[in-house]
Amino acid sequence: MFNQSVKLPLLGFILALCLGTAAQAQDAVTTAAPSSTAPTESVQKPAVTPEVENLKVSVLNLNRDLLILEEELLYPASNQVAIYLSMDLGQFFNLDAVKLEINNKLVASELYTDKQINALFRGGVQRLYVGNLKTGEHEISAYFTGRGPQQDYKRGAKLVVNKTQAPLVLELKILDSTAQLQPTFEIKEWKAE
Amino acid sequence: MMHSLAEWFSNKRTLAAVPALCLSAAMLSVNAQGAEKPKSEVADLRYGVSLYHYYQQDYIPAITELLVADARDGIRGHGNNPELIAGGLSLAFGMQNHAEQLFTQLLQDNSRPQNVRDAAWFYLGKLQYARADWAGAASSFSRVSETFNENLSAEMHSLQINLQIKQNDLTPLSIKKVEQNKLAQWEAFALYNLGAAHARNGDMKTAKLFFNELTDLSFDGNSQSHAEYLTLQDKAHTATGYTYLQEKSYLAAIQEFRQVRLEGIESNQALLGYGWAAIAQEKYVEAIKPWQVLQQRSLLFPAAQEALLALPFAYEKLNAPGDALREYEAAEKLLSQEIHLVRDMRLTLTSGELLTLVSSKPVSSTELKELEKKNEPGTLTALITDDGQNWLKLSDTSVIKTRSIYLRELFAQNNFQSAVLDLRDLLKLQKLLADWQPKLKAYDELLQQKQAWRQQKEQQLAQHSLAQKQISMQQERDALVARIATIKANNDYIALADAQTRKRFAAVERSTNTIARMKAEGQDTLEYEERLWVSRGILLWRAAQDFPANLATLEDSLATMDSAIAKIKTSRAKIESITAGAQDLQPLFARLQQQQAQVDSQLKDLNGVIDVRAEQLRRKVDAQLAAHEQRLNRYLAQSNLAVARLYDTALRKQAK
Repeated sequence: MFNQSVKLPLLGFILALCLGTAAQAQDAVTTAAPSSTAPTESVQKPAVTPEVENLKVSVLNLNRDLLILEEELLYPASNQVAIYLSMDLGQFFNLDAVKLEINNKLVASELYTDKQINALFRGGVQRLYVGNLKTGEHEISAYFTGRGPQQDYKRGAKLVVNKTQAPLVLELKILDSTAQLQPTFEIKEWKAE
Repeated sequence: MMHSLAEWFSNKRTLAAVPALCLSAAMLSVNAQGAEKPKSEVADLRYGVSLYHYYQQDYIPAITELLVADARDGIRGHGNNPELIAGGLSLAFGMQNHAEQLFTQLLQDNSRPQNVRDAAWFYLGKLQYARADWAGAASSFSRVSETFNENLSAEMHSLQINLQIKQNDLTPLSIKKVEQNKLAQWEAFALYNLGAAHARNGDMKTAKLFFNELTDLSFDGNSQSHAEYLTLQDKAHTATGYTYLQEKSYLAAIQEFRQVRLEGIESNQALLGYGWAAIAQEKYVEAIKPWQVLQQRSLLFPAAQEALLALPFAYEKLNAPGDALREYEAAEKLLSQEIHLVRDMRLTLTSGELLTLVSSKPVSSTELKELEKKNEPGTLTALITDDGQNWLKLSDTSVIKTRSIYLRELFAQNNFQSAVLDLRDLLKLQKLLADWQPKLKAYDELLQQKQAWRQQKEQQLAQHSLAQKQISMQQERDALVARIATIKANNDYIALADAQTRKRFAAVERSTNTIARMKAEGQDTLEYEERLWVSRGILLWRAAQDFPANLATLEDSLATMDSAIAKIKTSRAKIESITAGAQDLQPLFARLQQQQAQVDSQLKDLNGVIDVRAEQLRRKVDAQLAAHEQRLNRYLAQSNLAVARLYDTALRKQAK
């Protein structure tokens, strides 16, 4: 018979479920996708084991060695050119796309996602292009398209550089000109220390 | 002066300058307070690149960028930030031991600014907390200074309360004390945890005080926090209701259950409890209402399953055996279908399917909501979300969200979430290494081509072919120079004259000899001599006319020869320079081959660990489903018995 004697164990089960752990309380609120770390009373010991962590560390170290080897093979220092892109503030310009030319030849182009824009806006720097260049003079051109608060922009920046035996490092910079209330674009050459 | 997070964000110059980490407001404040002046640009591009990846939650390239920088000359110009970032990234990628080492190293240096030390102690404490090292965590938290970031201090105080709960040291934790701690958004969690702790200890009176405080808590925050807060309030009302139920305070219990939002996740248990509280007061009609609502809900919820049997039980109490029988029979049918569904889920769930699920592209929270709307309840749909989940956020973020309520408890467990994150990280690393394999093969071919080219050039040099050519051309050139000098010195016009003139001049020379012989023999040669002298004069005059132009042509040939010799010299020098000064290919070959072998070996290890982990996950999921199947079977058996009992009773009545 389905009577009180049957009911009570079930009641106990539900009470335990309610008063159980804060992890379950957390679970209830996770459906709301909380924005930051919520402390819980009963954090269980994470499943991460030294075996897995050691494996991660050794794969990451191997990946580092592989990248260094790849760079030495493909882009030796005497020929190397690396071009980065950064945004300082970026309030007057919402970047859509960038095209990069070396000696009038397109070498890189990028259409930006919101995630990438956000990363740039927060101070991240994108490695846009790595390649090889012979020593001598070269013309670097970058074309930026995007939207400002008042208008759309399609602007360019050019720089003639002299490639020496040292690696050439350039930074395409999108800057806010507070005086003109509009974005400015420039190419900065990083000199090796 | 400590900067608040809001202040910090309002100052984008600082953000762009030393874009510290979103994972840590403390780390941001480190920058604002540190000895370094804020910069208007990154001082080291590699640091910026690492942040670029980090902000997109691409932890592998972010960590790798820092590792590559370390292997070279490190990151300059960003003070303590790269070390804190490295620690944070290690945490984000589930390398807790590594993160601990980094934070410990940082703390061993007493010259670090207090705010950097505070951040390191805080994260070290969180690590120890996550490892259930309660004493270690308490010690680390106690070393954080009072000037620590306000927001993270609140989180830390909340964790300290949890530590006391863990040690069952509840006495000092009064409601007043909780309020004094300025826990901000964590206050609701702390009140709930303390209420639940007292309830588990059997101190229902104190438990209710905490739950009541939680339900009376005023809320001022964003909509997301508001949803969390309402859910916690629902939980508190439900827990208080069941507490009253145990104390047989049925009216008070119903009062609590009635305050739970009907659309909230807690409402199932509240509706069930409401019904039982009414039954206990013999208010059977009142019990039917909440149970009928529950009965309409998905059978995935345990409370809805129980309602299937509770409702006919109430009809029986109302002396309505016909209605009770109808409901029991309906329950039999529904439970049988549900058992069939769970069995299907268990049969179709393989470790391969789990791996596909775990490695699938993350979805945004907006996409997730849309998908959840479309899904039928009961569909085993689990999704990886991209709402910033990582190891730091493990405690509050469901990595896999599912519509399957059966797996809800399992998916909410930290160790299950950790296992999923671990597996996802391993799958990413597996892909990373697999992508290297064809590239390394191509690089091997590239090196071989380079080597072949170099050998060819070395061979050319060894055979002195270019040197011999240069010597031979130099000899030719020297001969030409001597010839020109002689011609110039002797004004030898005929030497540069055209072929016909030279031929005629030679004939004149031969005739002169003949005349000389004739003259010696006594013959009269005067006329011949005169004619010959005129011819010779004409020929010399003609040759003299063309001499400057012919000499210039000869000198041009000399210039051409000089240029050719110079080219050969340059080529020789270039080849010699390449062969002498070029990178030694053998060490590169050796490194490449060694790393190829390492990639193969580590990939094998990864595959093995992934298989084991995936199978472990599958077993956990299956065990959870099996437990649900068992409970459904139990309910089905009870339904079968109830139906049999009611038929039996009816037959007995008929027989009477």
